[in-house]
Amino acid sequence: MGIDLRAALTLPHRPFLATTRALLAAAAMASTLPLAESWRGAEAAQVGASQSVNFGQALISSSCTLSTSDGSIGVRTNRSLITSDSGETGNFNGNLAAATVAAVSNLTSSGFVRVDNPTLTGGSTAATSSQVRMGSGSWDTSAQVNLDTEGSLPITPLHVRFSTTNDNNRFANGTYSASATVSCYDG
Amino acid sequence: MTATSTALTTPMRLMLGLGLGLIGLVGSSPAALAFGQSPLRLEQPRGVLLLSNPSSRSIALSLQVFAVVQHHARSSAALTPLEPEQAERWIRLRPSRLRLGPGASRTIPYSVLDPTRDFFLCGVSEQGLFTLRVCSRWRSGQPPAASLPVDQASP
Repeated sequence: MGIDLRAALTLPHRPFLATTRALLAAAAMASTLPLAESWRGAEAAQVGASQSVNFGQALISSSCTLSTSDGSIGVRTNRSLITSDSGETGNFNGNLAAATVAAVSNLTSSGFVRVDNPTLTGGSTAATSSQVRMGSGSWDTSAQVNLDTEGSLPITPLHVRFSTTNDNNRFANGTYSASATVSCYDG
Repeated sequence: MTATSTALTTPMRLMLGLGLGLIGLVGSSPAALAFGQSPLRLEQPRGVLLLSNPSSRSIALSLQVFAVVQHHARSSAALTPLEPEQAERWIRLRPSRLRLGPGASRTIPYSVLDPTRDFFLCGVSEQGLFTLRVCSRWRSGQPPAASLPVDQASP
């Protein structure tokens, strides 16, 4: 019977932990024994049959969990820009606040989170430029961040901004809302 | 211990593993909406997906098939899903729409019907202002579900 590596690695925490504990316990015992006693132990004869122990199966399966919280947007008083980023220049009406994105996975750094398709809906003026920014990244039509070596993306601020060349470069009266698509992949 | 471990079915073990991984995320941001999926690589033409909702709110999910596109030299899912009729020729899923309560998980069996296609199978959840997608990749060239002996196919 061959060894199924995936099966052999399933649920690694418990068996590994148990093994580690057993090794630590053995090491601790050995370090406290007098030298002569250690020597006598090495000479001891085995009595009875040996007995193997099993640790069952473990299964590693890639996973990713995305977590988000909504932000809010405001509009520049000259109506030229709608954004969630209070760091933008100008005076704004509304409460500007970042959304957040976080991820937990077991992908190590092969995984990544991507934000696409920043979209402004509502109102009567369509945006002609839609951009997104994650963390300290730059503005772009999409944003992509690699997961860290633990496979995680810490809670990261996410901003959007929209401008228009319609209606004399100004957003007309109306209620606007912004959205985006956040995806997690094993790269 | 051994008997207990070996008695766990694959979906149960998946849920346990995924659940352990989610504790930190939910704990760090209790107000957040969240959604998880496993595995992210479909290695077998038949198997199960595990979908989970570690958040404190009920969420609606759908499983959709997306073409593979390249962005910044990495593969990702197109923004628009395939038409359901086309998707159903590539992979069978039952169900493809579901609702998960707070803390709930569910396994969804799948069967790849056309292994010559590259695609992403993404769990999609509209949450607040976001569309969340966690995407599992099927790579072409893997054997179809129908060609495998029963004892080699995952449940």
